[in-house]
Amino acid sequence: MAQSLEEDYIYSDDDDDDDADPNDYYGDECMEEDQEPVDEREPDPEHFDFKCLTVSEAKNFLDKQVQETCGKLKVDKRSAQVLLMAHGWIFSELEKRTEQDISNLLIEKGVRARNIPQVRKGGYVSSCSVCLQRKQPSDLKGLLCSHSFCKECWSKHFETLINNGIATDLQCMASDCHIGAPEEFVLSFLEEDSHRQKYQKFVFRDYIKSHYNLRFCPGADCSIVAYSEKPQSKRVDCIQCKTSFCFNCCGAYHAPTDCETVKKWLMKCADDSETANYISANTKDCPKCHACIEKNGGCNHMQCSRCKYDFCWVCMGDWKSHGTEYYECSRYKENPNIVNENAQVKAREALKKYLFYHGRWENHAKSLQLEAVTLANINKRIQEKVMKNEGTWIDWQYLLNAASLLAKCRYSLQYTYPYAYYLESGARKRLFEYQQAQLEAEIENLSWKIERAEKYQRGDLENQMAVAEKRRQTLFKDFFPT
Amino acid sequence: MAGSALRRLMAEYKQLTVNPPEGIVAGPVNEENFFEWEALIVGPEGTCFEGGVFPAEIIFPTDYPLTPPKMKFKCEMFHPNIYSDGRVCISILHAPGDDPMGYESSAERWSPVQSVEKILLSVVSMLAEPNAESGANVDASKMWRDERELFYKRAKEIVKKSLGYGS
Repeated sequence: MAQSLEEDYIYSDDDDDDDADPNDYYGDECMEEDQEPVDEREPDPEHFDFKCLTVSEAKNFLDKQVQETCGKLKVDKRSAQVLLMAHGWIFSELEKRTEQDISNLLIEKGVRARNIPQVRKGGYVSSCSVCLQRKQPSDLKGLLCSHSFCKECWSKHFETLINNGIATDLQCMASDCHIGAPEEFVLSFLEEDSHRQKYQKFVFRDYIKSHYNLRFCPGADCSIVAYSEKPQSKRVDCIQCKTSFCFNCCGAYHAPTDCETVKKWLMKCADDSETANYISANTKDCPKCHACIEKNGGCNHMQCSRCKYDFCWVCMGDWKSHGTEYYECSRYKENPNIVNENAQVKAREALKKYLFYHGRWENHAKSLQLEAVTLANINKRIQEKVMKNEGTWIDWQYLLNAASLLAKCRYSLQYTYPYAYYLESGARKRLFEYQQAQLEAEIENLSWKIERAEKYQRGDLENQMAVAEKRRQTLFKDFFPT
Repeated sequence: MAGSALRRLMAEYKQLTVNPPEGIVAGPVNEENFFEWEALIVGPEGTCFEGGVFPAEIIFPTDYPLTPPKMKFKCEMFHPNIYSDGRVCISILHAPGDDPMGYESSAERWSPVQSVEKILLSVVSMLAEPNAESGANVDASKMWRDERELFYKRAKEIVKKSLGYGS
């Protein structure tokens, strides 16, 4: 959002908008100029400074950091890389550790060996302890630790581990030896180009993954690396693939809900914890053997299929005492199973609450998909109108802007539901739900008007857009931390 | 690939036959196929598995020793680090990066200089000292942690069964 404001004003190359990919759809922000200017005193809670770097830009950035560290700590490039990686590439953190003792730190991280064993000399013939083949001493190679192995074994060892995704963690083959293998050492044993490329790709990945200020764009096949000076749980829009993601957790953008809550919510939606809730809401335990029983018929005379105990579903008492007087099941009030009742009522309530929020969450997700179809139709309608000489192409752009704003607002609305689900009851929740309801009402109005755009004046529609966006911003100002 | 694996396995077999570690017998099931071994492990003295003789199979990959073999007990076992189907789950049988149980990084991992002998010795010490933190058999882990006496009783039954007694 921060960087490509100028592009937002360019209308001429909007061809991309012709296809209705939902990602494009949401990533597009061409209605920015319709928003009211943000009050300087109240910063936009969604504002976030970031930069999208290409792979080579990211590599240069890392190289620069490595070089600076080399200069400041007076260490070689390899040491600087390992030390930076171990401290999230935050130099101040690293400096705190190195003030005391840099050489112990380098030993701990496997850059330097604690004691360098004497290299055996004089033996004409020796063998590699991995393949047990006799080798010339000159064919045996090792790291600082002097554990030597033959070239073939080193290269096979590295290839195997690289195929498992290990790169910067490659170590000496000896057991319990934690001396790391520097890049040049590994590369000297990798002959095939494909292996070399894979290795270098993984090394780069390890660097980015360990970096406090850098994140890979989670978009499919996207190579962009996002940079932020102050990482926060805010939105990043990838300039290449248009994916919107949260800088902090790299998941789909989820404002106003925070990373942890949304993670909890998505896990709850994915796992079967609600199945368990369903079971407790719709079944009762056999009073005798406690088998879980679901009532699948109308008759309240139940027989447990496991222990064959006959009981009454209504009062959970022994059926024998009912005799033939079922319709006067008077034991219901005399012997209420309060503990079980309560647990069941609670489970039923919990399930009801979850289903309420999940239903709305799902519904907005579906609406977003359907509105992406509407967008495609809008494009078609604009084409038709232009062909029929009803206004120029530019005249109808406001419809696209409206659809784009609608998507943005509905997306935020969708993510207000997990927030509300985990919000504790009280005045704050009431305020949240009030604002949420306001936003929802305006969004539905906007959606209604967009679908029937011909019946409404442009001014009317634009007014509705401003109202919806205002509601969204009000909610964010109160509930989304800056 | 398989050539060097075979050479290594033959050398290890020879070493194990000439100089067998206490309480362990191991070798190929059939000398035609060096990639499938069987082993007999004696329950370590002074532990609840004392006196038991536990048969196991070890299957080697063709790129041995670059990747670790797999080990599986062929008799009934009840132990926190042995799956109920007999598969053994200890850190030395996992290559670095392969972390099904979330081991501490300091635990000893597979490396090409490890050997069958080292694995078997690790298994013996695993029998003596179960690691309930990274449990492969949750029931056994729980029993080891909370009801030690019951676990010992269960282990005694396993020992009896391994000797052909008991039901």
